[in-house]
Amino acid sequence: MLGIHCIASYVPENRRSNLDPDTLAAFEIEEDFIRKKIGVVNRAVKSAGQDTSDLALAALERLCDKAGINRDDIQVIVVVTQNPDNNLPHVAAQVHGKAGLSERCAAFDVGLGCSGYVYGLSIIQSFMESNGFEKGVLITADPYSKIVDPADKNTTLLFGDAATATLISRQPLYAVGPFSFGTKGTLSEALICRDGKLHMNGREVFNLTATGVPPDIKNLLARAGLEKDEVDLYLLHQGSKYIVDTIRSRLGVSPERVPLGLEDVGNTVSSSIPLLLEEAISRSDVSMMVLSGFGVGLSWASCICKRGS
Amino acid sequence: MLSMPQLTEIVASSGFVDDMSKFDSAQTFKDNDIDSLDVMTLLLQVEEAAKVKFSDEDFDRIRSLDDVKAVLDSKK
Repeated sequence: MLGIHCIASYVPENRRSNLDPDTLAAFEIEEDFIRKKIGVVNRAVKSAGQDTSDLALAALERLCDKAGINRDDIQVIVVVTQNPDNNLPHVAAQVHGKAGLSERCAAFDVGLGCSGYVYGLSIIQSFMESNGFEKGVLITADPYSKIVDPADKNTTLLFGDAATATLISRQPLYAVGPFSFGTKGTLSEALICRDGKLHMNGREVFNLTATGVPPDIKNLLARAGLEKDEVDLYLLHQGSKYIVDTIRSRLGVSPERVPLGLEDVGNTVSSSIPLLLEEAISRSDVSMMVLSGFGVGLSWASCICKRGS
Repeated sequence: MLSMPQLTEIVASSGFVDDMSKFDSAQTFKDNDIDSLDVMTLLLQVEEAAKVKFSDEDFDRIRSLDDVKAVLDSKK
């Protein structure tokens, strides 16, 4: 059975602080609001010389070292991004070339945002299953610093840059599934990049997330025959502390089961769930998790992650 | 449609106001120490209770609980 074998990540060293006095004054906000509501104190920001494929490559190289895998054994890489280096070629091909992967290795991108990691798990597992593959890598790399307007209060305090790489193999630590997916295309303009700048209708995104994600997770649990207390951790996309707290409250689960991981990096889009998962899969006290991503589309996707194969 | 006592109860049960005796429905949410994110939650709770959907224009008009009542009444 295919599943998650190992996860590695790359977070740029550069940070921008949301507690900078000029930032607080410009947006007329207080430190308490940043810490208790937004939850992002520092945002990770790539250097000017780095592009999406560089972040993705760094995560892939760390995965190869961490998992001790031979690059020639990787049969497919899938990159989740909506901010490629260029419109074409696809980032996966650039990473393939820079990493020196086998010419027999498939490589393609998936154009999704914050729901992209969960979608990506389903896509790569299905692709590997249908082709009889043994090893594949799912990469997330979506540096929003390329499109965030520093003057836009709605977005500039939220997003950070990061990349992750997840090894999918037939000797998994965690099996993944079942999945659930959803889309509200009539709200697609609520998170949109126009003329190179990100625009977000925070209220629409918040409302859909608050009203759509908790019932989606409850339905998923019912389908999997699980009670909510049987789940050790709920790894939710780290949109903001406020949205994570809202979903947790509407789900009726305790804060200890819903970790936060955005304080020192920000909302890293499709990388936020695997960043949490990288730490979670190393814990011996965790055996059952729910992953749930939501955002651009507007779309959402959730899945069960269970220790063992 | 919701009455003012029902709207006030939504505010009270939200926990966003420490002392409801000092809450003034005519004052802005900001002046009642309710921040912009908590306003989004409150308005979502009103939408769910009243089974209505506030448009972006409605949202832009709403500064106070009295404004919420006025917008709701306009949708009758």
